[in-house]
Amino acid sequence: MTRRSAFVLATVSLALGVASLVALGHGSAVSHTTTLGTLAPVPATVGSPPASAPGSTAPPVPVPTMTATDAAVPDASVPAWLTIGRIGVGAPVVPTGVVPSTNQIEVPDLDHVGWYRFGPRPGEDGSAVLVGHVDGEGRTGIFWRLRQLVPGDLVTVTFSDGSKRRFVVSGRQELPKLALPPDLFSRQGPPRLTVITCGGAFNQASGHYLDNVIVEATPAA
Amino acid sequence: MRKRLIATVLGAGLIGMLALAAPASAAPANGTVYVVHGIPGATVDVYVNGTKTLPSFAPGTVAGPLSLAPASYAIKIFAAGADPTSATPVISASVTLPAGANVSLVANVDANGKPTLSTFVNDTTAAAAGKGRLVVRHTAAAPAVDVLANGSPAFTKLVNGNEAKADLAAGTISASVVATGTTTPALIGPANVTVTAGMATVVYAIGAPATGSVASTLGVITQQIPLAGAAMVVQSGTAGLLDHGHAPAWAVAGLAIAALGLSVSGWAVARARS
Repeated sequence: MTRRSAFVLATVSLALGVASLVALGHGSAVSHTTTLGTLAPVPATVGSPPASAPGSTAPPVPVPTMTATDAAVPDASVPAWLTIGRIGVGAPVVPTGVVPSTNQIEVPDLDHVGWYRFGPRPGEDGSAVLVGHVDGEGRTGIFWRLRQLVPGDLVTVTFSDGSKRRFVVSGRQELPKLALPPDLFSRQGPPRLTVITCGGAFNQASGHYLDNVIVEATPAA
Repeated sequence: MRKRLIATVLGAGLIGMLALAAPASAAPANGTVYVVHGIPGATVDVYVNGTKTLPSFAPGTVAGPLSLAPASYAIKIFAAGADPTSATPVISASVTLPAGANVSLVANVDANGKPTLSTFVNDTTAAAAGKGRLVVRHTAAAPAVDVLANGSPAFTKLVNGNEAKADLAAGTISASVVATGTTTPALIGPANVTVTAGMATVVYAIGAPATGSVASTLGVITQQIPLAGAAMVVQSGTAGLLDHGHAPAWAVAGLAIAALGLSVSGWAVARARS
């Protein structure tokens, strides 16, 4: 390669490299929208400049209000059974917590699904988290086939009082275990179901998978 | 040849410059606003920038959350049904909402009993797993107080207009408010306060103590605000039974090439023998 063409190549590479860096900067900007759960959205006319005349005849904006009392809900119904017909899942659900002094969610045994009790109930605002094993002890676990779910699949949660809530799968992704977005464990935002198991490559030395398979589902209409 | 080279270099440089010049445009994020009515006995109409926004807003209620653009807002609060063009507002204030902020606007009384609008910023950063945030705000016509949790002081020397907060394990606390430095009598409470994991429980001390013939209106009202999440770890597989469909592409290609090589050599051997 001549010196001249090498120079051209280097310049083009630099320009492209700069362009791709800028593009990365755009792409990785996370726009965080605080959605307002199940409350009706407030029209943008509230507080829009300039001020309208006092005593305007426009009808009042219906702003949601609630009585300001303590949150205690005694003996609240908890998830008790999970059904995902297309992958043959029918399993008991138990409330689970955190492995002490860690940020690990406790996962129950191979045949049970855990509902993370420090998050919302399925159907409440925020991300309700269900966890289960993909495998262990030489055999498959309750979420062995979770990675086969696709948008549109139906998920049903039955509660301890017998009521049911249905959800529709909206997406599935696989992410490294230590790179799970905090939003998956947030009480903010609209009601959603987040179902998590393991996947990806298996590290023989540590005895763990490298990734999580995460299925998101939204309340059925 | 030389002109083409120069054109190529300039062209590449121009592409780079155009990419640099493209602005990273993002509109300032809306803020989240709650309006808390902490003045006992006064149902009101709340006007925002001249528009009646909360009609017949009753004491002890919370409105919102509202998603509002970052800006200054003129808040006027009138007795319910009053004519805003002629009546004197109970409270008139201007509030500046920063981009992305989460705030509670509280109609309350100051330490002398005068109605006022207090602005509190809500800390919605994530709490540790299993914990919620207890926030106590002194918005009552009373001097400095201590807040007892299950009988022991949790927050001390809290004055009107200020707040104290702590992240606590989820559960129920019996809380009471006492004059600072004392343990009895309870000015407010005891009352059960529920701390919910992943939520802020915000408790407002409101009202005024008894004066002459007017009974005490001291009390507490509560709002719950969701906190941001914190990344958790989910270990859920130890048998390694999943197929190796995630093998890197080069390994799969290598296997394919090797397989092809074996079949070619096998065919060559077959031909040689035939």
